[in-house]
Amino acid sequence: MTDSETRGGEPTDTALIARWRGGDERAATILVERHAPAVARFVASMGERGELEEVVQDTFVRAFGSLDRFREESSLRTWLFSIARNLCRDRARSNRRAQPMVSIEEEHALTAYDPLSAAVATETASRLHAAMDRLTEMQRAVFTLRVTEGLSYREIADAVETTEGAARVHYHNAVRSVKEYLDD
Amino acid sequence: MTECTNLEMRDLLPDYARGALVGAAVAAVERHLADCAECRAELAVVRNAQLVLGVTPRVDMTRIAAAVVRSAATRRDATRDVAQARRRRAWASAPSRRMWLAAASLAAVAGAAALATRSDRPASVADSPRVVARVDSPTSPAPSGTAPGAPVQPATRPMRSNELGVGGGLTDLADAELESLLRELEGLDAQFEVEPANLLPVLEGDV
Repeated sequence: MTDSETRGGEPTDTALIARWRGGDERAATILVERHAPAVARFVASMGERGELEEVVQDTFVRAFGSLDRFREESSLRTWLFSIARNLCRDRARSNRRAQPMVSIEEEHALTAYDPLSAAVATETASRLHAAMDRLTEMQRAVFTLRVTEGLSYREIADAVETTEGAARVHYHNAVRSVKEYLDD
Repeated sequence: MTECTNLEMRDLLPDYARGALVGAAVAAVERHLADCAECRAELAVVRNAQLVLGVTPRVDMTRIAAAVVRSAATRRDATRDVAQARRRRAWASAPSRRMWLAAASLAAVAGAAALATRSDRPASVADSPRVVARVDSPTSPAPSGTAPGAPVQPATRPMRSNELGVGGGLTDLADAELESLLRELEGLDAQFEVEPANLLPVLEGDV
């Protein structure tokens, strides 16, 4: 294995993808273990509550099903975020169609029983979730990817299919909105 | 609420909060934070968000990996089935194969018709095969060009052009004649009763 195929002694995503294409099923397991936690955090931040694991699984199944189209212009993780975001949007759209009359109070009530909030169990966590719920879907995705996952604006732009400049504007608008909500 | 106008510093706050900055960048951010209350407030929001949103939900990664492998296997099977179906279609639609299929169909039809014709026809002397047996009569002259005493080959009635027969006729046809036959068959709007795939082993054996 060459240096370009490993990083810190671990095989790179590119090397693992090549192994998977060559029929090595273990490569898929390593890639899932490497990226599933970040994808799960992102999906949770996007407001997916009930079927989070299903969304994460669908993300990986779709990604591996279309690896031939992955040109490695962005990182695998960025690509996974992009797929996860599209899945969350599709589900949100279908949920809206199924339940068109969900009020803000009901949404906040759901947040109060979110396992994430319960785990953190602080007033700040509840308020932060409430603040996140006020953001647009794009702002929430950009804010999460920048703050929690540490992606650059360039990477965020790839993941949410926008420009680097627009990603920066979305981030600062999101921060402003969250701060205003928490200060009230 | 006022906001700091130093966007460069504000852009660095998430990385600073995550401990991802090194060297001069850390010092620059800390110098700025010392003088900027707005950025200190923003840093608090960022840190809280990292704390709350950074909690990793529990997911069964073994199950997810198994689903990936299972899905890939299903996809491979589907791809293989499609490829096989395409090969079958390509085989059956190749011009030479189509000719052979048509010829085989025609032979089968002709055989059935010939058998039906012969079994339905009343026996008559005129239509009975004119097989002339050798008669060893000293009065009958031997056919011209035949040495006396040589075996005489039985003569058969030549088949009329509008009669159907079985055996060798189609295989003796040239490609052009087969193509012409095929066109006539298509004109009759004939349809195969069986899938070409089922004929494949039979035809391969015949060819």
